[in-house]
Amino acid sequence: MKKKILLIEDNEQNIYLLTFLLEKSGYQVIQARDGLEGIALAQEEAPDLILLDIQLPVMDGYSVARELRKIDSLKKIQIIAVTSYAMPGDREAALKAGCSGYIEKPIDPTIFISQMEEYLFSDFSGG
Amino acid sequence: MKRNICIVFLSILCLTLIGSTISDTRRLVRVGVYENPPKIYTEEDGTVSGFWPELITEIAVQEGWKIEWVEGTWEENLARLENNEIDIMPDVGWTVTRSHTYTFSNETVLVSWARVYVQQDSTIETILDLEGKKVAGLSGALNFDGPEGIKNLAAKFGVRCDFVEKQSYQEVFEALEKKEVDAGITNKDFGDLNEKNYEVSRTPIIIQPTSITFAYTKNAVSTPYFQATIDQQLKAMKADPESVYYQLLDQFMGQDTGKTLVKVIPTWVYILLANLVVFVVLLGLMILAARKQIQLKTSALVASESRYRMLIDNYPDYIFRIDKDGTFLDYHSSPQNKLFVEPKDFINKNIINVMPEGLAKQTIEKVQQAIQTDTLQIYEYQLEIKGSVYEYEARVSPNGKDEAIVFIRDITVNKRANRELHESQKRYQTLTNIAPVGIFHTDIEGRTTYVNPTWCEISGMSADLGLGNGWLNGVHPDDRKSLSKSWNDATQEQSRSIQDYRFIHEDGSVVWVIGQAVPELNENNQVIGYVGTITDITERKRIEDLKAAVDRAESADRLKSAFLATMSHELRTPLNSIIGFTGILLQNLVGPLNDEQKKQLTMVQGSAQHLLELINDVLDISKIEAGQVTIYPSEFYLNEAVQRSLEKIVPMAEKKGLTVNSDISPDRILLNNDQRRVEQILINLLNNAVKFTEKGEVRVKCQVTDDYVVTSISDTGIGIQPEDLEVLFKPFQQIDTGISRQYEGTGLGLSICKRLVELMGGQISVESEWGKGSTFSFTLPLQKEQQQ
Repeated sequence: MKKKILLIEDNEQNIYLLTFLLEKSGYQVIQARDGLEGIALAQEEAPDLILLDIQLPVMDGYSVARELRKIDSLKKIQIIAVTSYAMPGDREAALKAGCSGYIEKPIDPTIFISQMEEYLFSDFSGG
Repeated sequence: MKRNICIVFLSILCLTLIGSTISDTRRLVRVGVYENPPKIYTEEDGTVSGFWPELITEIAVQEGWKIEWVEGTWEENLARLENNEIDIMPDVGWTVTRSHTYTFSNETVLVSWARVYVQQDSTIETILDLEGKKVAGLSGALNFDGPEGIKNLAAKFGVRCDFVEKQSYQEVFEALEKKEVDAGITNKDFGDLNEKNYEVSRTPIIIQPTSITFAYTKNAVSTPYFQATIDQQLKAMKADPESVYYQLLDQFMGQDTGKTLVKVIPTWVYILLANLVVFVVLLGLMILAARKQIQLKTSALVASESRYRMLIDNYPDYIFRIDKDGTFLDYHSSPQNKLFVEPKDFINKNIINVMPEGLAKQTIEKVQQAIQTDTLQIYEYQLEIKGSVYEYEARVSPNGKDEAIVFIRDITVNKRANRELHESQKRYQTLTNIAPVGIFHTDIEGRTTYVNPTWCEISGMSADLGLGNGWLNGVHPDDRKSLSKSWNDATQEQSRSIQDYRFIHEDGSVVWVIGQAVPELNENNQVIGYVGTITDITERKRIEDLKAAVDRAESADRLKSAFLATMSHELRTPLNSIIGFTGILLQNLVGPLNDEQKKQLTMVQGSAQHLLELINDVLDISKIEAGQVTIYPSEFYLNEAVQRSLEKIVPMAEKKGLTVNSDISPDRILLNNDQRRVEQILINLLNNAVKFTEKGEVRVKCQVTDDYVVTSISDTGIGIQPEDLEVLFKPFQQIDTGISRQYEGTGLGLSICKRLVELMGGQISVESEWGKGSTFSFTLPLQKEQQQ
């Protein structure tokens, strides 16, 4: 059975790029265009991993991560921040908000899947 | 004495004779008469009698006048006098008001005052006791209706009485006796003579001491003549103790001893004892004259003393009479004064036995000095009374040859006030002299009248030059106009002012000051000038300027940081697509590419990567320059970081046919540092090594020393020329522009590495030989391995 990846991202090109890459690698991708939709889908679909953009409309990625971690069923899920926020402290801010990992944009398609799979096949013990 | 009496007899005889012979040519003098016995009255048979008629008759005899008595009430006759219907009105008390209406003799005939009498069982003792009482008085009399009369006096004390008007003093006493009134006021003369004939009592309430004499019509032709003549007569009579004046005083105003002397002596006694009688009468007259004289003097003294007693009773100072040996004879002290000892303990005692020795000696010395030199002596002294020290001023005035009057005034409060004022002034002076601010004072127009030494230091002007409006000359020309205007405004509005301005010193240096001034008020809250300060704020101004510059720079920097953060993000988003999709295509995930497609896409990918590096480097160096790079430490193994970095480099090295080796000892080196930054440095140095090496190898070596791990990246590349080693780590100083074209790069990498290494507690260095290769080494502090 295919692993489910929830992609919370508002940039269409990035959605297309990551969806293409993930599906080529055999993953099922669920797309959410904003944080609220992402939180809803995370509860409905019980994905195996969440890829979370930080710069999102309405509700930023940090808030989304915090909200996701409040949901009991999602306490152990891997949430990877995928973001072009490259300022000092952005990575730390993401981890503090409840993300398990951090992949900087632009992504490197040659190693992105392996970067993600590192998290997918390990247990999240943060939070 | 005998001779004098003879002369009196003779003169009366002569004058009577003269008077009867020259009656036709006598000057007619109209004299007012009213009823006020015993001073002046009409007897039952119509004869005008009393002290005044007798006195004026005596003068008329002397001057050859014919008297026409004009009878009427007091008011009627005063009105007549004013209208020149009579020439002389006797028994008129001098007052300021009356002196405008009438002309008075310069010689006083009688001294009088008025006294309040009460019923015999009355408790009235002071004027305040008259509250609500019925008080009788002579209508129109000065002591009743006059400006200093009982009516006005009561009003001044706030005492409300019911005043009853009477037409004579007898009526006043009668009303008292009949208990129709509670009190009555009469003049001294009437009271003294008649008080014992009525059931009335004296009170201590005495008012209005008055000089009583003759009054004349103002501006009448004859007035100067009457005034001069009567003055002369009175003067002569008063100088002679046996004159008619004194006889009349005794007859009418004194005790009535004279009346009892009038006895009928049988003729045979004369016959038998003629010689003896002559002798006895002469002797008796002599004794009588002497007694009269003593009585007169005594009563004059009593009157005089009463006057002075009234005057000094409320005199606030102490008055002592002290004889030349220092014995206290008499004293006065008002009730509120504190006496050093009780009167019984010093009266008739010598000051030496009463007062402290020093003061006693000083007092005796001053008393003697005053008597000897007949001059006032003034000195001050202190005295401790019941534990408090008082200060006094003593004025010693000679009183004859044997005694002095000492006036002593308590000046404790004045002295203290003076001392405090002096101390306050001194304190103010000291303060202004040492104050670290400039102090100035101006008059009400704003012209400087005083500057302190600090003012001179700050302004660079001498006090002389600063006074008036001179200080403006020292003010910076740019500030002069506005300062002058604001100062003028402040002084016109009499408000406080505050302004910053500059002084220019002679050497051209500029001193910023803050000047403040407030109106100076007198006790009535009127502005009498201004006091102000100037404070040197040059340093503060400098710091403010500096701070403003820093603020500007900081705000520019914040703007830059915000711009960079936005730019970084916005550039990365499109790069994500470029790099992502290029990568996907090159991975043949979409489908196989031909060689040309692959070549061109690789170029796109390379350029995109380069652009990304540029963005990262510019962002990094900006952050580092602004001191905004934060190190986020975490524990990690250096060998793992090296391994990850090598993985990124190896593909590029392999493409160039280079070998990459690592030599890490021991295998696992634990660090507590910013792992991303360590990897960034490793990748950067490895990238450079691969970039500048065409053949041979790139080697990473990690070695542990005491507290540090030294990581070296060596290559067999082109190396670096010695002169370029110096600028190698400086930003935007990429060496050899020729090479930089050949080898892409931002020129920021090494300077970023250097700053990051230093931020992480290490150092970076380079060794190189031109044409043979380079070795970059950096150190990082070790983290002691936790127990496992």
